[in-house]
Amino acid sequence: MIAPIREVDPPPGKRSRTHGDVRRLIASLFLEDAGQPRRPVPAIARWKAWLLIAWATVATLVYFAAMLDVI
Amino acid sequence: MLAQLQSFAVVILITLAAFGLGLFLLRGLRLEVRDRLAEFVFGTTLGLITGGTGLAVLGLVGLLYPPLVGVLTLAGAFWTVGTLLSSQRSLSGQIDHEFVPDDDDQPADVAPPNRLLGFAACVAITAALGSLVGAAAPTTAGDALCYHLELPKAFLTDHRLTFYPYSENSTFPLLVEMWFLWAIALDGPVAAGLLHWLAGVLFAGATVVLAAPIVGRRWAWIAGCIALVVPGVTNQMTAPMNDLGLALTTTVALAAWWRAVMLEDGRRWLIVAGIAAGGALATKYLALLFALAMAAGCVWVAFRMKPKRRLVLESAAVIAVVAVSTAGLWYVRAAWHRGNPVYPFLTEVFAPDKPMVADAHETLPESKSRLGRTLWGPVTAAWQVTMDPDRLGGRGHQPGVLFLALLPGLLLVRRLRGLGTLLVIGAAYWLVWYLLRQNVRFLFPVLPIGAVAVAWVMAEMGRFPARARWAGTALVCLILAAYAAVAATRCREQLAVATGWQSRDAYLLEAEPTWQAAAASNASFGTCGHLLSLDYRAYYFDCPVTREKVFRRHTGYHLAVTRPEQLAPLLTQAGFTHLLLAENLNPAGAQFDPTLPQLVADSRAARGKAAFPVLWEYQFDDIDGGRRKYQLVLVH
Repeated sequence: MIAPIREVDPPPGKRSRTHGDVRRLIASLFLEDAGQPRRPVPAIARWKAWLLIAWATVATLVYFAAMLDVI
Repeated sequence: MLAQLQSFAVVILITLAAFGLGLFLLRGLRLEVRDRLAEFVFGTTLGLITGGTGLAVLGLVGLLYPPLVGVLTLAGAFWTVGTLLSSQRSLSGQIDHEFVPDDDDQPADVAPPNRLLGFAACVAITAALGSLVGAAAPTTAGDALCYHLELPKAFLTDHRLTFYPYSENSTFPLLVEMWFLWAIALDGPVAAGLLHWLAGVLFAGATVVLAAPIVGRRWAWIAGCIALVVPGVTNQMTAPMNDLGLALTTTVALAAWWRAVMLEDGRRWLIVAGIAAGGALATKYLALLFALAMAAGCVWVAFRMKPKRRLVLESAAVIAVVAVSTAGLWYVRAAWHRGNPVYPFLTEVFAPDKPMVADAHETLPESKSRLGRTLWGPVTAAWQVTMDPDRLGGRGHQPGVLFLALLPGLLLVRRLRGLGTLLVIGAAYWLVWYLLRQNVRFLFPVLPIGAVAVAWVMAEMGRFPARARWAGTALVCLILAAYAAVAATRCREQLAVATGWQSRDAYLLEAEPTWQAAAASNASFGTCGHLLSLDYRAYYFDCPVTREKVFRRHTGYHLAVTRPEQLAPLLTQAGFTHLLLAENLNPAGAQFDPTLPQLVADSRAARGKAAFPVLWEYQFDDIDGGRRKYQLVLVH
């Protein structure tokens, strides 16, 4: 009989969150940074963000006014 | 109090039995669902669909007996408990069994802060508990008393799915009504209401299951909370209707299709999708519109992802075959009795056996398209649906403002894998809804899609400047808190009866317009009579009830009365022993047709006081502001 050279990985459903955390922690101790940091996600332009907030605020105010029979 | 506990116990039993049945199906299909929530949602929904269809088959062969239903339910519940316990034992022998989601399970760069997640959970729990108060009270919802509960009660009385020619709803697809029959057989209408509340909770769970592979697990919980607290959803959770049942089955069908086609998690999920789609078709004709939207989604995927074309085609074929097999009996039954599988729609294609005397149904009446049908209509309709739901079915069923407020944000955010397909399905449904049936409660099937999109916009708010992010989050929290407050306070009048401090009879005496007439009728002649009623609320009467409006439309009896003396013999000949007359005393609220009261008044004037003697008479002030006079009258 040929002996297995390593254990088969357990299926993903059998690993706990703690187990995964421990693996990642240990890996971070021994592995160096790959030198390819995650690309930062660009921010959404200020005016676009405030445009959406303004729209949402106006829609919400009109909605509550309509539901309270103010308008 | 005991009555309340019994209702809750019955719903738990039914849920256990349904979950066990669904689990049996999932395991039979060799589908391993490692996520507990997904297992519960898929299992319980499949079990409810299969159980409801089983009850329908029992009804077709005349075996609808409460003891039989009770024995089957108990057996199913005990089997489920045994299965769960044995699963627990076999799992406890392992080191651990918690499912660990992959990192890919979190597509958003930033998971929602714990505070936001906690707030959303609090809001959802508050809304659900508020709705539970309403669900635990005896229902006074008109549609529920007209047919959602009345038909199951009548079927149980007859022990079979009887055809009632003067009940147009009796040949509708009635799967959800079979769930209510299940509850009524073991307890009563309160258990049916609780079962529909459970459908709302399952609907939110199905939204989480649908959203998780797209926006990640934690944002999916936010999407589920958003779907749950929608004002129309929490309102429907308080009464036994069927719109949430439809939304639940369409969402489960979509989630299962997603697993099979988009995640390529195995073709067996197509069977689950087919059963769920069949459940939707067996719930409401509206599911046909969702099928069109799903077809649009299939075309989109086939167009965009060439390697999936074969799989998409297979999915459409398998789902169609399984769905037709699941829902077919309702359409065959309608065709058998009415000559029209979608009666009372498409009468232009399927001509009725007998001509309608008055206002026959149109498939696309003007009254169902208040917004008109214009090129820009589908775009502008979003504003009107949000701001003026009273024109489109009532504010009780409204989708709320969150979708209108945040969905335009999709123009600002990054593309998310899978979301485009969901949005195509949602947009196709929206378009068909706009063209065919403009009622806000018919939008429930797309709420989960909207909730996923809103969750993604919220996730992308993480890329806003700090103040804008804070303002956006605060606005969303304000809206959600307002929804929860509405849901929590909506049913304050029912708190006493829901907790058992007030008796159900005392509550109904105050809240249900027909309760006094029903009590008098049940005490006077019980089941030995046949009532012709102006009011469509029939459930609390022990005797068969026919709606005067439908009887008039089908027979035109009023045209046959040329002399006042003819009315009583004509009604007696038609089998009616008593009348329930309702007269509006002010212009508010539901208005009743004056034809029959006028005929009775003419008859009394001609024949004297002996004609149509009044057995019971009272006035009732309804919550819609209407003041009415009810008369229970002997046909004489």
